[in-house]
Amino acid sequence: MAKYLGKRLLQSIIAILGVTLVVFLVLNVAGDPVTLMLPANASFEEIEALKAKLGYDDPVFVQYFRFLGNALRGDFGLSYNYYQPALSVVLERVPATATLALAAFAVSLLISIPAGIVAAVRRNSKTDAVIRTLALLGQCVPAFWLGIMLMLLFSVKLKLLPTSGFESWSALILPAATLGLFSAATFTRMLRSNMIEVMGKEYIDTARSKGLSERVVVWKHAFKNALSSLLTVMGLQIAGLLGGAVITETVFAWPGIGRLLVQSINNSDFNVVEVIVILMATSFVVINFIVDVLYCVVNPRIQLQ
Amino acid sequence: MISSLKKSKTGMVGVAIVLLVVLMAAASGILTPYDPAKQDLYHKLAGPIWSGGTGEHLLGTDQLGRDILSRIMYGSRVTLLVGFSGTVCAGLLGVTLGAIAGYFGKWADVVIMRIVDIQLSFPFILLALFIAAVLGRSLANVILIAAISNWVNYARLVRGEILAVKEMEYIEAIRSVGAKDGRIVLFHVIPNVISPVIVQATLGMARIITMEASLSFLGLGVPVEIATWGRMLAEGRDYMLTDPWLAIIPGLAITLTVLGVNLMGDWLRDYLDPKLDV
Amino acid sequence: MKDAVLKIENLNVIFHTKYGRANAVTDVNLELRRGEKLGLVGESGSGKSVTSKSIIRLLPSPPAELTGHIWYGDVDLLALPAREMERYRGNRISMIFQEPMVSLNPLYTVENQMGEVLRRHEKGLGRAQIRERVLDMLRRVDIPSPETRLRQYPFELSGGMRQRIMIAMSLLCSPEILIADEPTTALDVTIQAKILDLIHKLNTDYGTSLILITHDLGVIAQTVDYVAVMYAGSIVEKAPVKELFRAPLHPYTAGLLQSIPGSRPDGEELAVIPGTVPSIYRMPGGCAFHNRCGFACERCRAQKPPMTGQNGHYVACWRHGQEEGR
Repeated sequence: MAKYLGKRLLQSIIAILGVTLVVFLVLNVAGDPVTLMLPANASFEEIEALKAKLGYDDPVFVQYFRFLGNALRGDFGLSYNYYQPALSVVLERVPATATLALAAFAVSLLISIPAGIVAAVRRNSKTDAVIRTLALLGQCVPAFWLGIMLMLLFSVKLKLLPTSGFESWSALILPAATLGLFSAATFTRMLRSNMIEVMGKEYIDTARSKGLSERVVVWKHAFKNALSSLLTVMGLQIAGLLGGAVITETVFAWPGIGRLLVQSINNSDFNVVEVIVILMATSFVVINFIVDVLYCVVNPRIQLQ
Repeated sequence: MISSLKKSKTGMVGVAIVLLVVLMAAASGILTPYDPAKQDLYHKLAGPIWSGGTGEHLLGTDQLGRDILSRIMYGSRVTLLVGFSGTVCAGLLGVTLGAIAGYFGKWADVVIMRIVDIQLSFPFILLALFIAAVLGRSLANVILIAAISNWVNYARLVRGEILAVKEMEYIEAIRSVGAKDGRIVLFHVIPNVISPVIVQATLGMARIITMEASLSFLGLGVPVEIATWGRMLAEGRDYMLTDPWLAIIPGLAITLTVLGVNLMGDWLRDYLDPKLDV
Repeated sequence: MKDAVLKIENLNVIFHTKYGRANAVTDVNLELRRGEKLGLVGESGSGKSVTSKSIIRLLPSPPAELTGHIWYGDVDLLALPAREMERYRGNRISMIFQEPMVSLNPLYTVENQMGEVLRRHEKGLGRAQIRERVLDMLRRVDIPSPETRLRQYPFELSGGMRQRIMIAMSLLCSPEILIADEPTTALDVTIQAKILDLIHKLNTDYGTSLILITHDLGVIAQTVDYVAVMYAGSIVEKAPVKELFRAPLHPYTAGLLQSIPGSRPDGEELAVIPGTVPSIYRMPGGCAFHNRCGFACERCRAQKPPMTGQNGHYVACWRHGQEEGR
């Protein structure tokens, strides 16, 4: 197991380096940050002078390693919009996004685990048909529209919940539901088909033939097996959550890094964009690594190898 | 194929929705009641016909008095154009890179599969936003984004199939009697990947349509003057308290289209690959 | 018959699938006596596995619809509520399956999966007692170093070892009936013989009645006392094992016997029954075997033959029904 995880760790580090390289290349070579920094009527000489001052006339790989070195020290340059270090501008907003993503993940699991299992156990029943239809619809509704519709219903018509803000727990409900429902739809579909596959395995017949109650058969013998194969796609789920957070935060004016990303793109605040993209990709790689570790823990076969 | 479609109710619904959207796109300019950009401030924010509207504007007008129905119809053009050309570009890019990786192997394979890994470490929408931020707003850029953020699945499919074919003994056999690589690819690889690629393409198209709508919603898609469903929804959102239909109608259009494409994809999967019985 | 522990009466199993109705089992009548070893033989798709799974009600319903009676003592198993049925499974009636490689849950240890049976059926046993019972049973099925096995996962064990564990698990509560569905098909020939010996020994030692399902007549000849031959969902012939091998009455049974390697003198080709088993979705009228039978006549095509016979040897064939009538 240690060997496998070591290999995965190495892969993760390479992936993060790759992400920084791509982000760096796209922003600094394809784009032209210096021109963006100066007023539109700046002369050619002024641009060249600033380029030389900031080191943009060095070879690309020298620039990349300088960038990487600075990044490792936490220096991503200034936010041109906030006149503060880009990293601290972003880090300030991380707790909001983390809260939202965790709440949404909880919503997603709370809905999809029972729904997926019931649909699989009562396969082809009316309940199954309803769950499948809802899951399919959930996958087709764009997150931003779902958010607006929930807002329309619960805030405007029923006046139960606030439309935006960050002050109270009730403000979290709608954004978390929006983000969670979307991911619940995908997860329910996957769990259902995995459960159906597992329920057809012979060891389920064995479990039943031992006289175990249906509850034990489903939860102990089937669900754990279905879950262990679901863990491998859990990473993609989380990617969906992180991506969905960008849109959900914008809809609900939630002060997290997703909304900051959209704002920074609109304001051409590229140092902040850079930090957010690297941060999101890195956390995604790290989460995937953790999922792999979990997979090893659940699966005795890998544990012992 | 038709008879298989007749048996699948959901497949029928999917194909019907997709056909409807195609008709809408084809008819815009001919059957659209108004110019989608024409403002009429005297008739702004008129409700749709079932909610206080007069019938002059079937689905009402927006905050600038533009006819919603016409804008929805024109919007379907962008949706279909981006969905279709984005899928084709992603497919071409993915199939080519996958074939190179699988066929040449060695360093080509390593480099391409590393790129795939790195790309998979980007959440889909993050990548799209990032490229949109760097490249700026234009129709061509949106299609490019669609291609770049969707090619990976095709590449993996094709590479996997080529590797599998390479392993098969009968390939050794026909090669030993002088079959050329081109022939092997033509007769043994393409027939095996064509069904999964088509299925992948429909499901990918649904994702691209959602992506385009999201980008337009965030103001990072096609230029704002062009009517798109995502843009209409973003603008309608500000009038949610008084005129909710402005946000409801374009959202419904997106959802139904994505649903239609997905249903069609599910049916195609069942039709092309009956083994996958889920 | 007072000493019958299990009596199947007019069992019919129909599957309602998207392709239509499938008559998997038709009018099966069968009796298992105390301590007896009963063989159920037939080709794949003949309904033998469905019959055995019906006994402990393992068939998912829907799509399966079961009618008839399965008497265990004076309890009709088919009429029991699902929760009640659970108390018989693994306790009074146990089952082992064909594929030992996949019939144990990959995520739990041997001790966990075996202990589960005792925790379910014999409430109040302590951890140590359960472990002792499990160890004891592992020793009885000749598993080497049973203490080590307890902590192992199925993937660490060989196929033969897993099947022994399945057998041990099924016998933990000293059931009256053990159903073994092709228990040796997936194993090497040498292991096959050992597992059959083990089943044989346990039957003699504990008086457990056995239902052995197999397509292998060689296994039947070695193991059981009484045989029922199934074809296309129905029993076509049943007889004491020696009687059946000596004087098969049904043309299908005769065909099966002739297709066993070694059944004929050297140099003669093995006989093969022409044609294929009919689809359970489209059963022919009359005798299900008529389109493959060399003796088929008009009556065979029109009417289904009833079960007739005496002295424990019964057959469903018009040829013998007629002979008796004369």
